[in-house]
Amino acid sequence: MRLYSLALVWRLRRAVRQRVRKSKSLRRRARWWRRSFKLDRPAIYEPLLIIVLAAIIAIHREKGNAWLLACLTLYCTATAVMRSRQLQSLMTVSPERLLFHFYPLSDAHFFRWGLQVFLWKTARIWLASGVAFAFVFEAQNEPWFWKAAACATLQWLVTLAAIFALAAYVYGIHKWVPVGLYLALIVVFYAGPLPYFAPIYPVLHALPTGWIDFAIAAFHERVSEWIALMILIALAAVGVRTLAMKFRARIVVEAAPEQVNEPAHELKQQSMGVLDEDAQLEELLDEEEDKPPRPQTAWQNLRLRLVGASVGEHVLSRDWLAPREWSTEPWLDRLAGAWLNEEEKRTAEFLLGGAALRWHELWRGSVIVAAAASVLFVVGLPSTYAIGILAAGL
Amino acid sequence: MQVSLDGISKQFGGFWALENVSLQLEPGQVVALLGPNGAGKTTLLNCLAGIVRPTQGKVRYDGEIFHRGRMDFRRRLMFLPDGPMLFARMSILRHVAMCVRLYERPNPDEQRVVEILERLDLLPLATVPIGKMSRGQMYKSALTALLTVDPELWILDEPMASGMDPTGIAYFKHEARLAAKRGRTVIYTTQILEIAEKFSDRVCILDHGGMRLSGKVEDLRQSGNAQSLEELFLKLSERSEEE
Repeated sequence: MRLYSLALVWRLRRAVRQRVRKSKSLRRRARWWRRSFKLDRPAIYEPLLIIVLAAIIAIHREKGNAWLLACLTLYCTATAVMRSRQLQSLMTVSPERLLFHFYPLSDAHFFRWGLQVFLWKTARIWLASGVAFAFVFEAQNEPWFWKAAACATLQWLVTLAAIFALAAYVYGIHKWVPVGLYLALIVVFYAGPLPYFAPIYPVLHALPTGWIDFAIAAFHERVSEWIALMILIALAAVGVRTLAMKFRARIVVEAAPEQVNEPAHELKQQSMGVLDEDAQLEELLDEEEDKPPRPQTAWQNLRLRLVGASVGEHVLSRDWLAPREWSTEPWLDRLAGAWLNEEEKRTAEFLLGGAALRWHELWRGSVIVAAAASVLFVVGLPSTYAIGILAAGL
Repeated sequence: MQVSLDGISKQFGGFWALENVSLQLEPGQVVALLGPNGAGKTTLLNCLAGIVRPTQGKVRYDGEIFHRGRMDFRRRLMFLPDGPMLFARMSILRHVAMCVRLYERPNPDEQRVVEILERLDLLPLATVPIGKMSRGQMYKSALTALLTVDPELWILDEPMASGMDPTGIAYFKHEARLAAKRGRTVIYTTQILEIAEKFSDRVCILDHGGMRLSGKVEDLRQSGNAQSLEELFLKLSERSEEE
């Protein structure tokens, strides 16, 4: 879902340029603004990437796959913890969430847009995994590119599953956890060749994203064992779907009002960041009375927080949401409805943003893809191609 | 678009920011919302735009109850708060394109957009990230999108104190007048009474969350036995303090 048409932006830009070219003064001012306020990021990523690649090449020769996969595991785990925080924030109290309250973008569309933006940002997990697996498979005389791509996809899916699973619990995770994991990654990465670090590599495989590295390290030289990997891939796919749904159903469980049957204006709001309007406002006003006068910007921030509180009130009120009759849904969704209590149902409806439930279709799709992949193995298609097909299907 | 507020009240904590405010807005009107600081002007605009939900009362557009979920109505209005809500890393052109898509408008005429940018002195900044601009330029960026989308209801919070330069304010007033002639409704808040007196078809004065006066400037002046809107406003303030 794109927020704007690129074609329109190009057309507008062309029209603006044509107009600017006609005036010397406009041309000069436009050039000054462009030069002064470019959005260039500092050029530190490319040199850093070269240093990391050079280190991988040098250390990998000495220590082999176990070290590299241990580093990858640590990287994916640290990223999963960090990104889960970002995902939770993006969907609930982020500046984007607040900003779009001022534009006619429905909550359902916001969730869709937010998830797309988030998934795009996680692409670097796929890239890092691809590089790592390329080094792992490069020594073999098999077509390593497809293997690396498929395994990177799998690693990405597993990390996403971890992110979705963790997103509901971010308030229980200390902020230093991802920082600590990244520091551990740096230590393991550069101290890799030291002999006393070798025993910790198998330990790292016990981390949430480490089992896939362990499976690859254990089986990649025996083609027949790829079948086991395929099962793991199918399980990962189902896991991602399940955990994603679980995430969507749980993300605001803690924030759901206690007495939802009361009129909207009497709802007692639960605490979740800025979502507790009344209590927070009273608290803020009490605090403000005791403080010296604030500058205008601080008042502006306070005001934004209050608007944010109203945004939260609206989100929790769910008066924009059409009621859903769970008993008439298809079998899997009906089953899920029977399993959920009333509060969980409301939360699930809220997170689906009024969109139709598609759980049974997702399940059917997963079964078909897994079955097709199994058939491909039975008829003897080369394993690497089948992994690619399955990865594309996922 | 017919706009009506039926007994709107809004409570923040134990504080009533608005109390039983009723108001009817007809298409083709430029309406100024006046009142001392903290009178409830911005809260009223927030209720109109669906940003906050009234504690009591209803907002109706064309006779139908409006709430945030009514995307059809929300695409017919645009709200510019005094600190416009913009993506800092977006350029003006991208912001305009985003509004065109979110408001489901057909692609605008490029020359019209260029003309707006030129009149607001934003042409050299058209591709610069909005976050790098001054406050007035940011407001003008949001105004560019508003003028491009041309919604039926314009809701603006303190456009005259938004940091816009006099040329920008003059152009805004010019466009708002044209919009009113096309049947658009413009409601804005201001503290500059001279502008409100000359520019508005109708003036509403809020105080302590309640609607004190509402009507045409001339009628209000006559009924209040005042020479100017400023005199009327000061009389009201004195009366309010005595009460």
